[in-house]
Amino acid sequence: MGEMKRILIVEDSPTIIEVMRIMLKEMNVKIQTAGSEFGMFQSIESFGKTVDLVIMDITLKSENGLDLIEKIRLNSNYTELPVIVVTEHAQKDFILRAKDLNVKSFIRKPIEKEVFISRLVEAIGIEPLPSLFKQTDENQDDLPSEHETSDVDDSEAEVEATDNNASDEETPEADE
Amino acid sequence: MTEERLLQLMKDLSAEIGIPPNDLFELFETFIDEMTDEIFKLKIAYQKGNFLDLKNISHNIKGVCAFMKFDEMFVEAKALNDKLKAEEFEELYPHIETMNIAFIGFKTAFVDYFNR
Repeated sequence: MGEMKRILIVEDSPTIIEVMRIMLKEMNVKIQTAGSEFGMFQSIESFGKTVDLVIMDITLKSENGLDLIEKIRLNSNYTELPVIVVTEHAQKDFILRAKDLNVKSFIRKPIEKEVFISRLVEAIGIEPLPSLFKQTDENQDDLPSEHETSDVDDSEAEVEATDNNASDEETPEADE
Repeated sequence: MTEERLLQLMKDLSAEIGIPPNDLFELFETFIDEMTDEIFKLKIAYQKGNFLDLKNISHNIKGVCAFMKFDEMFVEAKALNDKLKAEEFEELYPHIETMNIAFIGFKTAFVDYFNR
């Protein structure tokens, strides 16, 4: 087993953090959390090391997650730090801005475990337990993954929710 | 909330996040703490006429309840949030009150079930 990867979750809902912790329980990862810009910059470096991945909620109560990613990228040490965005759904402006900010991939809320794990595997190469992959992530196909973020163009960038979850009817605050 | 509804909610949630229903105890505790705090803040924001806070808090409640499959609170939070986004400020409190009643129902069912 390789070195334990360190993940920073930037999210201000304790419930959603707890859900992510549960989903990642069987993975070889160490989780740190932050609910604000201040906490994020405190946690991004600890014990002399940068975290391996940032999972960023786009709609924090008092901050816009994309603005926080922009602040991360201002530090030349973090220009390539993998970032995954968690969002309700995304529109053209949002995706293009995320692409400019070198966002690795997207995860739709409410998060599905298999999708969540597969995005992490793509981003930082951790090995999931075989039992974690029981389903495909077809419901999330409308959000680009790591391989797709670089291919987004104006014609395909607008993303609409297509599954049946009620929250997918929402307009994301991040785009407002 | 009936026990049957609570069990259904637990079943749906455990299938979604991949843990056995009876291991949801800590997650439900976290949810109850967060929602207690959020509903309190919602009432304060309403009393102060702070519509921005109302919008942000209802948005968070909506997102968390969608995550938790708790439709009874989700629909009220969504309705409240939709009105605030549309800058419609009439009849906001009934949504807060109905949300609170649904939450108390959940909390009671949770305590009854896990204390048994």
